Amino acid sequence: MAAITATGLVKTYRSLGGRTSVEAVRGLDFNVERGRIFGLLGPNGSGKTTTLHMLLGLLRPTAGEIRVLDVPAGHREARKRTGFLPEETNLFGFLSGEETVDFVGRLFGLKRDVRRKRTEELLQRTGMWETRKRRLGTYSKGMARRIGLAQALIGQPELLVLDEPTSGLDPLGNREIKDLLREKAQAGMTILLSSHLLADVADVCDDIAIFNRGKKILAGEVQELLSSAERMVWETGPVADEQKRKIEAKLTEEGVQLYGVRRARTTLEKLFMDAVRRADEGADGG
Amino acid sequence: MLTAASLRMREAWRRGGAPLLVVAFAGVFLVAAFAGESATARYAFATDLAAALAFVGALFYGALPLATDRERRRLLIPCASPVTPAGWALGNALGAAAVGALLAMLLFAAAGVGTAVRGGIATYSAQNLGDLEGLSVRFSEHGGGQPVARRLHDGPVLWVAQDQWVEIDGFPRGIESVRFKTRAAPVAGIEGTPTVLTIGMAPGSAPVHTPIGGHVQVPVNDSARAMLQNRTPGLQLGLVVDRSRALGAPVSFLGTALGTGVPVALGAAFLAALATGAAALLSGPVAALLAGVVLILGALRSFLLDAIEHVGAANAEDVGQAMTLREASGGFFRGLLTVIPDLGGLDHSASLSRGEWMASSVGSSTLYGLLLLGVAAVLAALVGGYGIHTRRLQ
Repeated sequence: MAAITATGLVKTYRSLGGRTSVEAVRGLDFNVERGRIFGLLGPNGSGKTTTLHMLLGLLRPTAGEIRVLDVPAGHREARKRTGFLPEETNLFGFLSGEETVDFVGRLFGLKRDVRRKRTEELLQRTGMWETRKRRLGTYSKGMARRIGLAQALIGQPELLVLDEPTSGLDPLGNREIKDLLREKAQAGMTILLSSHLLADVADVCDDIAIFNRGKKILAGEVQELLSSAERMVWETGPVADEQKRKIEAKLTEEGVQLYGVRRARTTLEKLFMDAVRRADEGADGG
Repeated sequence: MLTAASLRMREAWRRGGAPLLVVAFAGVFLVAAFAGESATARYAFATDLAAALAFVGALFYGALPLATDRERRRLLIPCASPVTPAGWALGNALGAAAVGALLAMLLFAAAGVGTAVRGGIATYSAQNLGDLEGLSVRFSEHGGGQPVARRLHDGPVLWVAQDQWVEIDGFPRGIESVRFKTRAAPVAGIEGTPTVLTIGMAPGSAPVHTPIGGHVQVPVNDSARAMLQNRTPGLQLGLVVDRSRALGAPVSFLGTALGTGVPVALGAAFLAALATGAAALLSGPVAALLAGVVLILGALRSFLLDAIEHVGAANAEDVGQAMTLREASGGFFRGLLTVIPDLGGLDHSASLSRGEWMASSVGSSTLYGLLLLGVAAVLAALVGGYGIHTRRLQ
């Protein structure tokens, strides 16, 4: 069952006199299934943000239709069930982190005690509890991003729309946010995110669509799209040089084309996190 | 809506509003306390400054949060939330309006306290002519001829017919002005109307200044005569003698100043709401330009009115001309500034008695202001909501 259905979506920006126009989105079709994490990818100006704004009801499509949670995009019912983190952290810098989350809770019509409880939970979950009293203007970009995510979740939305959710986050924060998104998706939340950070999208998304110049040029399940029928990878434990030579010879004998054998590498993200964790444990221990 | 309004009020306080308010308060206070010898002049100057600052501050504050793309992008979250655009825009306008009103009231309080610190200001109340010791009032009999001394005990008002004129001698200390009223008096065969109209003290016109203890001939000026002629034949011209009364205590004067500030507060609220809508629909720079124009016109108006008032005061024998000049200039600038002075109470209404001020300001300006504020807030909300949703977020 689709949480979002876009059909023949077109958005054309016209200048005030109507003399010039820019087609930001050109005949877009896509579906986002419930409970999935869907990534929108594309270079700058490919129409990602415009598409997000149309499905939030912030912009009206020039043509086509977009339905969100079974109602037209922008319908109050859809907005009540949707959380949104905008591209840049366009939050109110004069509010504290706690006030920001509480403020958005008020926009969603939540009662005071509910707001208080959820705000505390979300600030704890996003690692912002200790700094909740500081004004947003004094936060780093990554901290503001975490508050942005917390405010997007205050209404306990069925659909979460995130524009560049991990931009500005350090690797540790990046991992935490991705884990949080995974957790929410497993709990049944549908998540639509756009990002330039391809590794993050590959890491967290179930499905992706790649946009270019306002059109979808590729779409599908991430695992399917990234796997290749042309090449295979075996992962083994440590192999001695002699064993390695024998295996290579056997593979050649079997007619398998061998492109190369190399030591397995960890990711830079994992290396960084391990190093930081070890350093933290050392500091705590002594 | 209330969420948006409270956000705007919090924004005003936290984004530099507090220090700016302190500076403005101190400025108005200092002007009221030290910018001249006469308490009336200081108060007039300070309240003019307070009104100008309140209007400009309200305009800028109404416009600035929507002035840049960065600021407008902050609206993405509220716009994507379940709040209706009109509700959000209306709340925005109301929040800005509340800030404008509060600013005006505080600045008027500064003017009041500042003036009171150095001895207070004269406020006026109508006096019964018969109670004024040493006052000699002479007025001509019908058809002119020699003035005849006569005292009347018709409340505080001396009534003369339209073809009469009046001379007053021996103004006691504390009597600073006279002004005209008309009434329809019952004459043979014609039913009189009990309404009393004020002439010469309509908002913006100055009281006739007379030297204390001196002599003045009060002409039945053209405007008064025209009003008389347009009314029933029984209309008469009345002469009200005002006695000044110094209110030195800061508390009592604060009350007067705050009362006088109400129409200005409403004007400021109106402007803030309007600017919010203008900024949402057009752009911040346009709204800022509007604020600048109002500032310049307001300053010009204050300057000219003060200058004319001083000319009138210095040339006391030609009070009719001074009044005419002032009326003409006031009308011209009022025409330019449209609703602002009418809402703003820039007419130095401290020179009215409290009762009269209540009647004129609360009875007309305030209601008029409330009505306009309501209309403006709704318009701003609709315009702002439309603007935000159709143009500004693209």
